[in-house]
Amino acid sequence: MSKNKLSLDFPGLEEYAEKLDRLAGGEALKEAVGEALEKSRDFINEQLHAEMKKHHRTGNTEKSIMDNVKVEWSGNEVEVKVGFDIAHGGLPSIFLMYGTPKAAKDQKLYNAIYGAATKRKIKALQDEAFQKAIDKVMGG
Amino acid sequence: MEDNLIQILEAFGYPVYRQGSMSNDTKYPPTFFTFWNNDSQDHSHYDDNDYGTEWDYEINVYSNDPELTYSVLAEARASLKQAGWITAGKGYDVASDEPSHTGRGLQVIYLEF
Repeated sequence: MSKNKLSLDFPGLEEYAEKLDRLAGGEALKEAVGEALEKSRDFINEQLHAEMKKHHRTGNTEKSIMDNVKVEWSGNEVEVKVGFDIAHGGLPSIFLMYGTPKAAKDQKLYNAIYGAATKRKIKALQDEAFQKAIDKVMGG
Repeated sequence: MEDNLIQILEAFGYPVYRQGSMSNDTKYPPTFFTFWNNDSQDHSHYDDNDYGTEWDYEINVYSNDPELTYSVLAEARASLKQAGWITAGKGYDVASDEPSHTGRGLQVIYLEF
C-alpha cells in the first residue's frame, strides 16, 4: 500500500466484519467500511489543516490536502487517499514533512499522518464505526 | 540506538549528518547520509511497567549521482536489516536543497528490549 493511502487496520476487524456480514449482509458491511475510512481520512486531514496554519504563505500546499477524496474499492481491497496531493500543489509538503539537510522536518505535521497517537486514534475511530454499524442492525 | 545507526551508516564511507543540521552556506558533499529520530515510544505495557523501546528513525541518502541515491540506500537497508533493524519498504523521494542532488529516504525501526 502506498504511503499516502489508508486501509482498515484495527484489532478485531475480521470478527466485526463477519458479524456484520452475517447480521445485515454485504451492503451494510460495505457501508461500515466506507464510514470507517471516511472518518479516518477526515481526522487526519483536520490535523493536517491545523498544522499547516503556521506554514501559510500562499495557501497552495494546504489547499492540496485531499479532503473530499472518495473511498476506492478494487475487488475486496479498499483504501482511501489521505494527505497532500503532490501533483496538484502539494510538493512543498515533502520539504515540510521530511525536512532537508539544511532544514529540519516539521515533526508535528509528519505526526499528523504517521505519528503513533494518530495511528491509535485511527484504530479507535474504525473500531467505533464498526461497533456503531453492528449496534444499528441489532436495534441498539 | 543512534550510535548504532550512525556506525552502520558511517561504514559506507560517506558523511552522516542529522537532517536539518547543515548550515546554509555549507556545500553538499557529493554523496552523504542524513538521519532523524521520529519517535522512541514504549513497545508495550504490562503490570504498570513499560517493556522495550521502539526506536523510529528516518535515514536519507543524497547524491549528485542519481544511481548512487538508489543503490547506497539499498545497501544501507541491507546492512541495517542484518543488524536487526526493521525497514519499511524500499524508500521514497525526499527533497534536496540543491538541484545538483537527489534524495531518497527510508523509515527504519529498532525494537530494543
